[in-house]
Amino acid sequence: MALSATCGTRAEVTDSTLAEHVGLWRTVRDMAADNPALRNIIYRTSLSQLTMSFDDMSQTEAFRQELGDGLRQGTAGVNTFIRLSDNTSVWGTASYMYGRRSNVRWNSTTDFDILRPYVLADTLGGDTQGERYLFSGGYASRLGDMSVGAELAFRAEQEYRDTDPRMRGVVTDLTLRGGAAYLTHGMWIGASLSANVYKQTNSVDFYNENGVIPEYQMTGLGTEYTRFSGDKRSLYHDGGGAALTLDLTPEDDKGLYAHMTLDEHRYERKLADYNAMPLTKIYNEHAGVTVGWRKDEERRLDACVGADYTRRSGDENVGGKSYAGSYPIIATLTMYKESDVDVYARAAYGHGGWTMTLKAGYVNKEETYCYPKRSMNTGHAYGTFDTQYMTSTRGGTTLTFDAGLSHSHCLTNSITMPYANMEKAFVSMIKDTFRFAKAHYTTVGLAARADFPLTGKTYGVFAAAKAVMTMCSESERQTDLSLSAGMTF
Amino acid sequence: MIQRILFTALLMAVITLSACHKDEDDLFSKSRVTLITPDSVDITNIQAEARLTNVNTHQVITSTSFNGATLTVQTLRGVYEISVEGVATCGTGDKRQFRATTDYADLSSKDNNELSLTIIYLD
Amino acid sequence: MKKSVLKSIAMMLAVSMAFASCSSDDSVPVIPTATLNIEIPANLENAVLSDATATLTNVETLKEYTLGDEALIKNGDSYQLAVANIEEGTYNVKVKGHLDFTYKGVAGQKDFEMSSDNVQISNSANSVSLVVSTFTAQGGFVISEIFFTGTSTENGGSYSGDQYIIITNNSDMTLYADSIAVLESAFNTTTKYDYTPDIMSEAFSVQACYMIPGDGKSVPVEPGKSLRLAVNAINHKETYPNSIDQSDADFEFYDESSNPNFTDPDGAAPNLDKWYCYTATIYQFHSRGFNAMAIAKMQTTKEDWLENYSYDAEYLFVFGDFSKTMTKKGIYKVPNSWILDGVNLSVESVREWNVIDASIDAGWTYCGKVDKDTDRFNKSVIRKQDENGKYIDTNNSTNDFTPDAPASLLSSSAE
Repeated sequence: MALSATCGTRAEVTDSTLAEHVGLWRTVRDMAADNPALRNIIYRTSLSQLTMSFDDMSQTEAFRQELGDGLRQGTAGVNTFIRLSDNTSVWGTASYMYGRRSNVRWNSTTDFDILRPYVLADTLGGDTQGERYLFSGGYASRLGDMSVGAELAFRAEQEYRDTDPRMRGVVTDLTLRGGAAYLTHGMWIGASLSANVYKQTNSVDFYNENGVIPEYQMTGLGTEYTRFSGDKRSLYHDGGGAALTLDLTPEDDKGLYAHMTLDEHRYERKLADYNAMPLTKIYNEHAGVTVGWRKDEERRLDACVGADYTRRSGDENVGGKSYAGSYPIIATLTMYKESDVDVYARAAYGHGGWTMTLKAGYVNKEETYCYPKRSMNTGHAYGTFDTQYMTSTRGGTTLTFDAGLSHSHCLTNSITMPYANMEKAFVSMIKDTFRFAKAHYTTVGLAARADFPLTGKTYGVFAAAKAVMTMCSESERQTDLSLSAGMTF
Repeated sequence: MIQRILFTALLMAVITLSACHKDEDDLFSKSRVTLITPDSVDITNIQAEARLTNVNTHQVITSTSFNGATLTVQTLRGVYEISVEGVATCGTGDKRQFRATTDYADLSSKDNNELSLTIIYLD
Repeated sequence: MKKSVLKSIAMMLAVSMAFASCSSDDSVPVIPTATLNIEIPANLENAVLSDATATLTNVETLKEYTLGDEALIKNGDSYQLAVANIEEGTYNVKVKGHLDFTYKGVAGQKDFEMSSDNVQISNSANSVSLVVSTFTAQGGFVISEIFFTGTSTENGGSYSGDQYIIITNNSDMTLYADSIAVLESAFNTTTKYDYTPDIMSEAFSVQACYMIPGDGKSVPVEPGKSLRLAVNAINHKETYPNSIDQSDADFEFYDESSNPNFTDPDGAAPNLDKWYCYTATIYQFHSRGFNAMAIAKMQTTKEDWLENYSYDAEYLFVFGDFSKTMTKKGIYKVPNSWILDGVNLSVESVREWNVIDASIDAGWTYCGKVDKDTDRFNKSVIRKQDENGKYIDTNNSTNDFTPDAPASLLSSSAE
């Protein structure tokens, strides 16, 4: 792709800048941007945005109890990508988010999607409030046929509840990423390595003088570590991991491309009360590959196939005889296993201000607890169609309209649970989880954005709105509304 | 050149994959629980039910498979509270009701676990 | 060049997709016949099983297979129930029945109920054996109820001054309660140490001993009748309307407190004879149930017991790299042969061990599932009764007691 005329730190925001950074075609191109060295190659224009946004998601019934049935959050942030020269670029993000999640149940731990199933949980739950700080920065430079880059990202987050049971989770997550790419025979070959260090302190307190309710150390599919459940309410989660990405990207955006990612992250749950006794450890392993062909000319074409495989396995430590509240670990057993496979094909077409993408795939999820045997499996076929139209008015305003439609249809499902030996509350929780896991989902979304350049200025202002509705075959639905406004420069 | 680079990249991928977590799938082990009398009298037959309660999960398994004074049972590796109650036929021919318990038995070894319990006569 | 690129990409694909995923087999085999063996204890003679019912519940599908007497077959010294066409799986098995037998020449009978959970039934394992237990502790005084959690107050708090323990004459003749002492264990069921000496197989280690006074015939108790021993025998409802009127208790635990700020009200009921208590002020049961309680017929004088039945227990305290031998003082022992009945109390979330010999109580019972459980108030542990009104006593409080039961005095005052 030819260099854009808009290099430099104080560039005027043009349609081509917005198309590169905000347009739908970006999603076709930017998987290689995980590599800081290749981000320097992919993005040829500078764009900085100062954004204030408000998001409101609500569900008629929680699709996932652990995440609640509603999320309202306001975010203020700035993100920037600046081409210092033809060969060098810097980028960065800083943002603050405050939000409120409603009706969270069976989860008193922050970052559920990362740490599940090893969370603290109770039957009562409630609303939680949260704050998140995000900082990241990166630098990349091209030296002849080589490009090198590095990036640092830091997330600090806290989530809490101010009524019993008073959960609190404080998270720090630091990621370092380095990458390199080499241009040969018209192809960029890139590799990047990233590593992160993660820590969460998690606790639940009760101010009610009458007492408490049990807090369960969940271990997957409705099981709990009974010996240490009940009143052990202070935990740490420690961990981190590494990721490797490999990319083949055509220099002129015409031809074959490939992207592969391998990552492993491990997070250990420890009891603060018992001399930091490690209770469980979750291993999240992921491998993904995408192979495609792309032509980025007046008509933009892209076709690819891909597969993602995620394997999660959970180890439980067997605690031995206690000495003054300290428990030795006498065995470690892998009791929880999950494997998710996603295979898909995608095609994209763009011409002028129009971009369309069509994706179809199949997702299979299998979750198992080894003994006593429990399992939950689903297989969904899905299809997604997204379209975008970007145009400019005579006054220089850029208008972007998005529309999307997707459907996910459950083709297979099965569940095995020892219901006769489960407490009622756990049976209800598992049945609710399975009910939504095996449902069909249809999503319709519309979005619009207007970018107004200010006369005689090198910056502009923008406003955007988005509405998405997801219908669930269980006669439930989710609505997402998003409003944002800010400046671009 | 490109082949060399691709091969190196593939090697990096394989090395990364090999660092993946190895599951501990040896979940079960065999255990032998032998009952002994407090007065060192030989036991010729045990007719009893043994209840093994996993201390960590509180799951209970029961077994009546005694061979002489020894129970052989396969359990999830872990620590157990064991309670045995029944009738012991001694070498003298006496048949006596008994109970044998322990609050803590380590049955976590992958190999055979061996344990002895002293019986308490109830009659 | 492009061919070699494609080949290399294909290799990457193959490497990254070299994982196997499980496949599940949906069809469930049906076993033509599975057999339930009900073994009769070998020390019984002329045993006849009747009114037998067996229920096998598939833990996953909740499908039940029920068998009655008509399916019962005698096979040597045991009985068998055959289940036809049962799906392979994991089952909870419950068997109930009535046994008539002769034991050491004396006729006896027992209604029994036993269960076995998580039993695998398959083509290769199609036989399940259960052994009937006919053990019943000798009749006499038993602990029939312990109320230790206290009551909840109108303003959302709790009050534990109204605790009580009920002992009942479970025999068929009038017995005398003189010299029966209520004992509280010196060790907690929630903290386990390897104490030296370990005397549990011979004696019960106690930290409180309060005895019913009398000359041997002063306190008669008719068959089936009870004595209520209240921690404070006053009408607690005057201050806490949700509480209990204990002014009609049979005896009370009374302490002469050494601290004028903490004095024990001396209620209407006669005071128990305090032999020893660890506290210098006022005694109460552990309100969350962390001790074992027992009743014993004291076989010596107070002076002799205080002088000759005390001991110190040593244990190793370990914290990380630090360890120190500690000594627990103020422990008194009561020989197991004096014990009439004992109950281990604990809470599941913190329980470590039983602190009374298994011959007295092999199990444990509780109020509340977790330490400081908000649902534990107004509840007792209550001993179960059979159809004839006799208290069930197999020296295993897990089986013999109903945990988390509404306190009988609160239930009756509500009526």
